[in-house]
Amino acid sequence: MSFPILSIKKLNTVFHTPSGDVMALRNLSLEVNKGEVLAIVGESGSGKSTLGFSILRLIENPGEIISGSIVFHSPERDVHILDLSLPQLREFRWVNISMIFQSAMNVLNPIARIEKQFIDTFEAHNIEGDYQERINKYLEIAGLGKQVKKMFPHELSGGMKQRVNIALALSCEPSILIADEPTTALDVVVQKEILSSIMRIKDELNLTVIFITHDLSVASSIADRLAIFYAGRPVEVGSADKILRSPQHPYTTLLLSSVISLNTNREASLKTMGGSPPDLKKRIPGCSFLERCPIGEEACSTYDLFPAKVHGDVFVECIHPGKLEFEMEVNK
Amino acid sequence: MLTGRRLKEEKWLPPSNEIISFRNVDKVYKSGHTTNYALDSINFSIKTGKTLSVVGESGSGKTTFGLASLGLIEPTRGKIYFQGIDITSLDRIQKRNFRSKTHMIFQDPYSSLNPYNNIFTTVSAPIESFQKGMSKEERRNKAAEMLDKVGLSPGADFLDIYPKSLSGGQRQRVAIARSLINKPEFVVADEPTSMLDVSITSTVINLMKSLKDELNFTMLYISHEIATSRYIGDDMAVMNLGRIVEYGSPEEITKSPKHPYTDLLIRSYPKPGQKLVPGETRHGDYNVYNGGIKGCTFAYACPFKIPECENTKPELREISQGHWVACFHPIN
Ligand SMILES: Nc1ncnc2c1ncn2[C@@H]1O[C@H](COP(=O)(O)OP(=O)(O)OP(=O)(O)O)[C@@H](O)[C@H]1O
Ligand SMILES: Nc1ncnc2c1ncn2[C@@H]1O[C@H](COP(=O)(O)OP(=O)(O)OP(=O)(O)O)[C@@H](O)[C@H]1O
Ligand SMILES: [Mg+2]
Ligand SMILES: [Mg+2]
Repeated sequence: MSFPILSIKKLNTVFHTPSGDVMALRNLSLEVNKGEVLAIVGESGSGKSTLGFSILRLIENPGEIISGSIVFHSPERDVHILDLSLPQLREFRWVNISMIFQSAMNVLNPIARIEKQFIDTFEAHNIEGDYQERINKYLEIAGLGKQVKKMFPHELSGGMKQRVNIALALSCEPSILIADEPTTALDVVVQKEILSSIMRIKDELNLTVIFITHDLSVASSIADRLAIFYAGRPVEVGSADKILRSPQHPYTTLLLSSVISLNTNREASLKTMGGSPPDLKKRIPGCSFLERCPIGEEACSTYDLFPAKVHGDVFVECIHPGKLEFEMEVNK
Repeated sequence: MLTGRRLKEEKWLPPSNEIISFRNVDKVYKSGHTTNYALDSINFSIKTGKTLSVVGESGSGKTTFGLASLGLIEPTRGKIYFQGIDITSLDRIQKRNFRSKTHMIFQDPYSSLNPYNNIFTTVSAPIESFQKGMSKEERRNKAAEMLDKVGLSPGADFLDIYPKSLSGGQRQRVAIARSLINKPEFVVADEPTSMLDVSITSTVINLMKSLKDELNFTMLYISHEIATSRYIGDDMAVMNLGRIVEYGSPEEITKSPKHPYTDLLIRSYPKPGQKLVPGETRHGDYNVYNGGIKGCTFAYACPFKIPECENTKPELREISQGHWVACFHPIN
């Protein structure tokens, strides 16, 4: 049995821009189960980072969470994140939920030794106890030696910096780690090492991971469940195995078919999706994927998105789930 | 430039089916006490009319290889021939002539286009500088025609707009249009899709492949992304710490890699729908190495290392028809 550790309901996050409000998250509901790796997958601009920032209430001007609720279920009590006061929020963040930021390789302070960056974090979140012991422990968990403590960021490779970020994000012992494209800037070898570390750490620390990526191959290599994002909403959510074997939403199907793998036929041209995502400044009636959907029909434009259709334990936001035939050159 | 002790190489003449030939090329970067071999005794050729994919980890020297082949950086040692002519010692007119036959496409479509130039100015820049005397009318027609070719159609509608109103994929198409407008004979594409979404990546790759067939140039495709490299390449070269360690057909290299380093690269590649097994990682940290190593560059982490690997440099040798590997104990 799986229990939700985080419940997001009808969340709306917008960015107020001179040319109109960008609805980055549109009435989004999503549950994250305790101990799982949930991968958030979608194209650029689909709202993945905005979700991460919203959970931690890090949305800054011109952005704003305009409605919805985010509840963190700790063993003791339920925390309504959107209702916390600023001091409460400071105490809550990092200790319960922490985040590795997209392009995090550049977020380390360039003029402070790694050790200092840990100590600053501890002090900011009122952590007590032996700091050195704690730093050593988390550096080791992230696969780094003690000598890194005394080093400056410029002395570390991209992969090592990303490990420091992981160690920092874990060092206040959160229950949930949000990792936003943690390996995108890295090459495959280092990527695999970082992914393996995250998997191992997750088991050791009984962590829940929200893993944000645009790369379905990466997502499928570590996720228990997938949430496929399109235009500010998850359009398909469920067991990674099931979705990868038989995607139900046409967007998921096309996304999966366009993965370039080592078995892609070299003689044929690559499958492409065509079109582009809808303008989030405009109200989108019905299905947001309609314009690009090969099997879209009249009814899709008036389709009431909520509640989504249920297909086993996979939730699909489509009136004809599974209808688009799926063929992928799977690994032999 | 070379002294008598390298007399043999000075007399060396590249075969006519090779557009670019590297002879004993080193590129050494010195900073403080470290000497970094970005290219380490490269002896290698690119075949006329083919696409060569170069893969390898971050820092393996791929970009340096590309820049050197275009004469954009000067090698520390050795010679580089373009169609039999040594590009390391060209006079001004020869240099101009060489530049007009070559072009580079960069990684980041957001920073490689000048935001203050409209698309016409950007795309027509190469004819502006290399085909003086063409009327503006002619240049506009030519630019529009090229934009049509890269799928921005009608091209004429794009001429007067600015990069800010284009998506990432469209910008990369503009960059491709600019690179091909002067009908170059040799094009270097350095990670041209790494900033783009999967769906856009496929479109750009399809485009480059079909344009290559149509316009018949030679391409050096640089990427750490092995699946796209395999797809687009006629040949594939694997780089490790400044050296080419394996070379052959992309199909064969990815199916049965012979160099243990290539094997590591390929095993690290996330496969769609396949869960990662944590634990299996490389021993040792390559970041402490700067190339210029006496033996094999991969000896520090190679599971099959023998004493010879530390002391003798393995040269590229042909172990089966067209498949070259620099290893004393290639995999089966
Ligand atoms: N500061 C901002 N101002 C205005 N619009 C914004 C801002 N930040 C994000 N947006 C918009 O919100 C939407 C969601 O952006 P978000 O960064 O969450 O996407 P993402 O899925 O993380 O994309 P990527 O894969 O490129 O990181 C996009 O349309 C984006 O343009
Ligand atoms: N201008 C420079 N000054 C000093 N060192 C350099 C310079 N350019 C490259 N190097 C070094 O040369 C080596 C090869 O770099 P290069 O950029 O060619 O690698 P790459 O394979 O293209 O890597 P990536 O995948 O990260 O782009 C690296 O160790 C790099 O730090
Ligand atoms: Mg993002
Ligand atoms: Mg590079």
